[in-house]
Amino acid sequence: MEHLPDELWVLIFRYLHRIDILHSFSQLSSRFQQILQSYYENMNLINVSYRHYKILCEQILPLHGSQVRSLILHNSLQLNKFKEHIKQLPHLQYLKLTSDYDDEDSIHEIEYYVDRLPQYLTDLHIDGCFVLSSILMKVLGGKAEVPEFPSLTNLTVLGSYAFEQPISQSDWHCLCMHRNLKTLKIHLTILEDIFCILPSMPNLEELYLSSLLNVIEFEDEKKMNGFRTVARSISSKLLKFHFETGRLHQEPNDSCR
Amino acid sequence: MATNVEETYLYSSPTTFKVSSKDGEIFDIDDSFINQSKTIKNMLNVLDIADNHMPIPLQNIKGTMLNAAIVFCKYHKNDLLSIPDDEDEDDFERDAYEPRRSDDISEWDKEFIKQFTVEEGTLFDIIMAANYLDIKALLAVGCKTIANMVRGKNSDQVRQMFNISYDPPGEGLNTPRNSVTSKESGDNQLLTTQEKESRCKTPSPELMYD
Repeated sequence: MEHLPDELWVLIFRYLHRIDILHSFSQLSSRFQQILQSYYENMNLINVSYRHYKILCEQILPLHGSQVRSLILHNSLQLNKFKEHIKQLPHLQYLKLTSDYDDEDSIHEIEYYVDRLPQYLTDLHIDGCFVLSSILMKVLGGKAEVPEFPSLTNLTVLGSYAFEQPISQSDWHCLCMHRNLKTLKIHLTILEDIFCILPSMPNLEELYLSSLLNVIEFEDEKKMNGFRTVARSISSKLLKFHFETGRLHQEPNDSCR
Repeated sequence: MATNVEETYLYSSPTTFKVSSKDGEIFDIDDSFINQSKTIKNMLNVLDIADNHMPIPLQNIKGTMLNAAIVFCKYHKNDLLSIPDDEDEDDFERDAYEPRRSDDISEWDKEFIKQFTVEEGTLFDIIMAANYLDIKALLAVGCKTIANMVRGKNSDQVRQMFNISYDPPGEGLNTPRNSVTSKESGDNQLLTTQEKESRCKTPSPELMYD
């Protein structure tokens, strides 16, 4: 089998679950380690079985956690169970935390992760659950002098904080500058909050915004003035602006094509 | 997915040709083979082969593998349109993390592939032949068979099953920074992967680089 070229092993791997591939072929030889590199880098735990989850946490992460660059976790149970392993992924660059809309327990789990995110995270996606405004403030820097995540280039916060008090103007004005942030996908309960967010992102290139503004409210002159002000306040570097009423879909890109 | 138009080859009659393997065996091939092997089809389209008595040399394939591929194509000549292709590569809806099915090998294909073994290396030979000839259905059967053998096995079992060589001592995974530290023995001695293996209850496979 040694003469079977790498590309044929990759073809064989297409019929195996990623965690099975890592379980079966890791630590065999430097050649296989090289082939497995991209499989270590991307971990998607959505719909993963308990057997696979156990193999990942007990056998793969302790040895190869530092190679993981991208992680997707789903629902409060998984978010809760994975807490003890997040510290094994010091080089994580992409993190997606998702949950079902009625999974309210996930709020607290997400807070835990946001408090412990690797400093050099570049992509953070929080989707599906109700996101407390405190989480949003934490990600955007809160009252700190420098951003919590200075490398962040893509931020998606599609949860809603409808059941919480609006963020006060004084809190918004304390946001740090996020000069590296290029893409923001955000759902805001109160459209006007975007005025406070945008000045902290001077180099934003893509903005996907949704708000609970509905058709009836389009007749509300005050709301419409607010929307016009948003349009005027957008960074001069912005290349793409997508706005929709209601709520952005899980994959805003699809609706923007 | 390939269309009927794309499946139509451009060469004109005759529709039977001869091919020769790297060990000099000569075989007759017909439409059943030509339609399923993109490599042969492309050769016939590019080369101006007027004389069908002159065998087309296939220097990368042994006679036994070429014969098996011809048998496979003859059996599958009527399911041309259902041949799995690389169309999935263009399927953006497809979840990249979701493995493809490998439990759908037909009974005939299972019997066919049984003649090839890991021990003799022939299972890998037929996969490489299918890849060279670009016969998607045969390649899929070979890859699925290997995937089914591997699924659920740990790396020690896979090493034994396929007799995979270790990195030479001091190189690759056996460089000191990559070696496995013995925790069970309570010391901090660095062990090479071979040494770790030798301490396990199961015997270590023969090292191929010796």
